[in-house]
Amino acid sequence: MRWIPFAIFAYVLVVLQATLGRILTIHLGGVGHVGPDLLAVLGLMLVLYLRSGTDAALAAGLLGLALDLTTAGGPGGATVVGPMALGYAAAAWVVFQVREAFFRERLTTRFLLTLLFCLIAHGLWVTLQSVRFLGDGSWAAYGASLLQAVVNSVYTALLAPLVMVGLDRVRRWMIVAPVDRRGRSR
Amino acid sequence: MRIRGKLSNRTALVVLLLAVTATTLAGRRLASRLRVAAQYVVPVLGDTGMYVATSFKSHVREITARGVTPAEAKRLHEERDEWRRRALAYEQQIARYIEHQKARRQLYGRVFDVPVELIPARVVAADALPYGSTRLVTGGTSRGAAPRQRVTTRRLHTDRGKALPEGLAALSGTVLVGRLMETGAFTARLQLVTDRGFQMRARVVRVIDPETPRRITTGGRVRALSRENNRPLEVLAVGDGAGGVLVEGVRVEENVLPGDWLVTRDDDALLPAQVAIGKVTRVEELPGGPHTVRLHVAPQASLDALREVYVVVPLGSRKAGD
Repeated sequence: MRWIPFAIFAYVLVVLQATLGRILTIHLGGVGHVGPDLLAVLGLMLVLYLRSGTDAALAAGLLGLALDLTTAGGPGGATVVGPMALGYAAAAWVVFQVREAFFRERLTTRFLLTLLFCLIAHGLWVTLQSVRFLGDGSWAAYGASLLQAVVNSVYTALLAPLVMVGLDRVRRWMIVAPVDRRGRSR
Repeated sequence: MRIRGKLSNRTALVVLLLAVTATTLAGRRLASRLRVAAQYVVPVLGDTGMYVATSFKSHVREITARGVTPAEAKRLHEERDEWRRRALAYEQQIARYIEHQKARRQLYGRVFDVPVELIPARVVAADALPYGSTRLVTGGTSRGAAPRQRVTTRRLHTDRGKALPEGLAALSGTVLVGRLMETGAFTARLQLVTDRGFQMRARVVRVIDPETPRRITTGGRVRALSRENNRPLEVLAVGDGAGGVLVEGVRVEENVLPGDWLVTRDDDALLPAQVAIGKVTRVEELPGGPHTVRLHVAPQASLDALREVYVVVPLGSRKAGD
């Protein structure tokens, strides 16, 4: 893992998501705003191609922390920093465990694993943020946030195969020696 | 596969997980400080990106606007002509009023003004995740910004074919868009009126339309709404997290209708003026509720395309040396 190129990519991507990402954000009646999580796609790519699960979890945790630091609104108002880092690290660990069962170049694999990654990360984030505020919030509000997280995950998963085509071209700048095509470490 | 030095990646992961668990448990205050520290790096690239995003959203909003049928167009033309006639009459009234005021000012020498300073700021980034509605704006504590200060649009409607009159602020199309929630030295986090955490005391102003009079109940008596009994309704406005604002607990007898205005209070110390927030779009009756309705309000400003704003800094709130 090359950490400096990774840090540069993470920075550029998080700024893109906080600015140009608004173009891809849409409003769905009954759900609220729905937008893609580009950092989750980067996180998934690292999980799929890194040899070490520790590296994958660390990189994903740092991506989650970057999201935490650039997001201030959420369930219950102002959010706390940390839940997304935990969510990303947990999602990376789970996906790393199941990646051997998939052909990672396939579009369906990328869709399904992005969906799994986002459901874990965003589900945990919404839950941890809501738990802190359930005193002055409500279970209905928590349910609405969870529904929003599911729709966001599906939206991100739909875009993931496209985004990963771009990320495939710059993968070698971040990963020194990726695992082979079948997913087993050499 | 290791960060250079003595720290192994496994140790780094453990440290990261422990640190973020601690920050999660620490709560909002620490989160706010950490986010303020992180705000220094986002505007470097964010300004250009936000310019593109807001321009795109404005453009999409224009081209996706619903077209009108010929019949609707005719009706709108007639309405426009009627409003022009009324506007002309009002302009004459205003001109007389201004002349009257001028004479009074010369006599007494006092001028009323809203005691605030407007700090121009620009939106440079939004939330990275779509769950909240906040924006990162330039203009932090170095320019007098502080948490809870109000933020408005920076827009002025004027007919350039005419000379601009005195007291131009009266013609301003200023709309409240939110308030500051976190401030750093050079940037601040703006919480939009539609964010779930937004709460503000406000007023509902009912619009009197002579063609469709409405009845209200005051003091147990049913009366027609008129200028005399049309007092603003004190309410609590809350962001719904889905692009709108909610107002709960308005009495059914007040007969609020779609088209009425939600405005700020002119006795608010942070923005002592009546500024529009949005327009009531739906009045929802609550089955089994205590005879009250819930108002759904659409923000008046186009928040998706928000770019240039004013931070409202009350006069006297700046620290010495600012």
